[in-house]
Amino acid sequence: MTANVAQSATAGTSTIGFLPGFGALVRRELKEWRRARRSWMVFIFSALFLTLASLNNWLISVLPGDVTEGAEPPILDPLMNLVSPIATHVFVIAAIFAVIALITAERESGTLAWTASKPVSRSAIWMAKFATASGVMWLLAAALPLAATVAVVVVLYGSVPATTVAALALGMAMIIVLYMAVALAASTVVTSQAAVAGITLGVLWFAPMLGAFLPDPTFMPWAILDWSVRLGVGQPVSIVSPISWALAVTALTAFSLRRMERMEL
Amino acid sequence: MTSQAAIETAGLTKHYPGVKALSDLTLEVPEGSIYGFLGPNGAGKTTALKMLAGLTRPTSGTAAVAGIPISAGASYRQAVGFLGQEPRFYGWMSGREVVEYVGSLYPADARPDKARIQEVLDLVGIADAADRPSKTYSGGMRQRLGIAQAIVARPKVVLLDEPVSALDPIGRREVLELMTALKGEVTLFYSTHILDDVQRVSDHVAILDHGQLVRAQPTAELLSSFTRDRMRVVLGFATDDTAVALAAIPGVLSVEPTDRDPDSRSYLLRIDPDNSPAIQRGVTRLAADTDLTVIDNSLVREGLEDVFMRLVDTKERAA
Repeated sequence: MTANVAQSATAGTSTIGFLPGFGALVRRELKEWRRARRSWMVFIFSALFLTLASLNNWLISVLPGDVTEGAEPPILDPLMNLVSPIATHVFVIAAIFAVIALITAERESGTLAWTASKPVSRSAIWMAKFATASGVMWLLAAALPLAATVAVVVVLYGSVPATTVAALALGMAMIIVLYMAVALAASTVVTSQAAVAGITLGVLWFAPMLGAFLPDPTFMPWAILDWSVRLGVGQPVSIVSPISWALAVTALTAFSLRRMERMEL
Repeated sequence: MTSQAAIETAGLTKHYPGVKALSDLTLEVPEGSIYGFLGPNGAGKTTALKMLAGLTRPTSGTAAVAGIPISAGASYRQAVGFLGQEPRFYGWMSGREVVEYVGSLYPADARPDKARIQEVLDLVGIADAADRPSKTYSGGMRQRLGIAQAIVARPKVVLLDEPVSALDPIGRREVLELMTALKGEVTLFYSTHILDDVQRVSDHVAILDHGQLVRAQPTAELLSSFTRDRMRVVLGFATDDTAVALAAIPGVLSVEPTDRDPDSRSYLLRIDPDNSPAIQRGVTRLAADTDLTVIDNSLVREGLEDVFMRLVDTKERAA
């Protein structure tokens, strides 16, 4: 059979390029995100949290009430009121919850096996999910809520430099990409949504704590949001953070693609 | 192996820790055939089909479809249409969208156009419901949609895992008729444990038990090979000595009395298959010599179920 196989291996098939099926898979993913209720929920949750958190100091300053003796007066600096809500990473948590089922639910329902039985590469399946989840979550959990928050801040506290907003948007995109990679990498290892959420939230909460023991936490990939904030407010930044972030995303992607190719469906 | 085989497997094996799901499957599926892959639950049918669909890696062995080795990845899967057991699609997609989506996963030069998509929707009989969300489809419709998406890009081989097992009799008949209609257009390789269906639509059959291939033959040949080794003899006015006389006929291996009434007695003869005409003549001669009436003197026509039960180790399975 080997000889026959070798002779006719290419007969009757088309040229299969790099990441076959990627474009069609991305289109399907986008369609699914457009229809999904969770897209709206992420946007509403993230936008409400960021805008209400930025309103907080203004509300304290205008609402009459008892002021505890010795309490700090509310900070009305536009930059602080823009950056503080973002630094909580709440928008990342919303994005994580939106993607924990992306692979596990498809694996459980059989649609992952169905798609994988077509002339697409499993790497293309993972890459399509990663690319669309990162893009959509950046838009819905970060960019649009950021725009709303900027509007609130400008109206209530005063203007913020466009470069700061651009740097924050970049940092939010990069941190979302990182945690989408963590969640989707976890999805190639464990099969339950709870386990994916546990691993990803574990990385989100505990890894920075571990980083605190390091001489320089900026070496860690999750320092990328701090890095972008510093960049936005004009403080000196190290090139190490984006390099560390890029290495982490690349390593997670390589790990996931390897796991996908070996997955028994 | 011939170059005409649609599917060739050589020593295909899948072992999980502590479980030998499939051992050394060597099979040749002729092009254009409807090939039934028969076996009891847990025999290894789904494992074999998943390996052929490129979803599970073999522990050892090779497989090829139309000469394309399974290791060719996406190129291999382009030659294979697959429908898994209890097919699940994206429920929000309509039947048409499901088929279009599958078509869009193929390389540009192999991508089916709108006319082809409509053609397969018509062929499987769901054109009227094609724009309804697929989650509203009945089991039979879902199965027919599954066949439509499997054949839309004109693969060389279509693999169907238990395509009718979960269907009611009407759905089952519709799907079997559809499979028969596809004969000649594509090679169909399907697994089932429903023996009647294999006998109705398959021109070839392979029987699998405990992960091992028991027999692979054209269906008619398999049935006839079992038909020729048993004879049913019913003789009027037979006596207790008749069984002894029947056993003495050259070529008769054993005689088992099966029924008895005041006028006649029935016997099941195990015979040498190569001598069946001579044995039938011997029975007639015995009857003439001993004043018996020949009521029946024919080869037992066994169905696939009988053959299957004889081939498969039922005792071991029950244990």
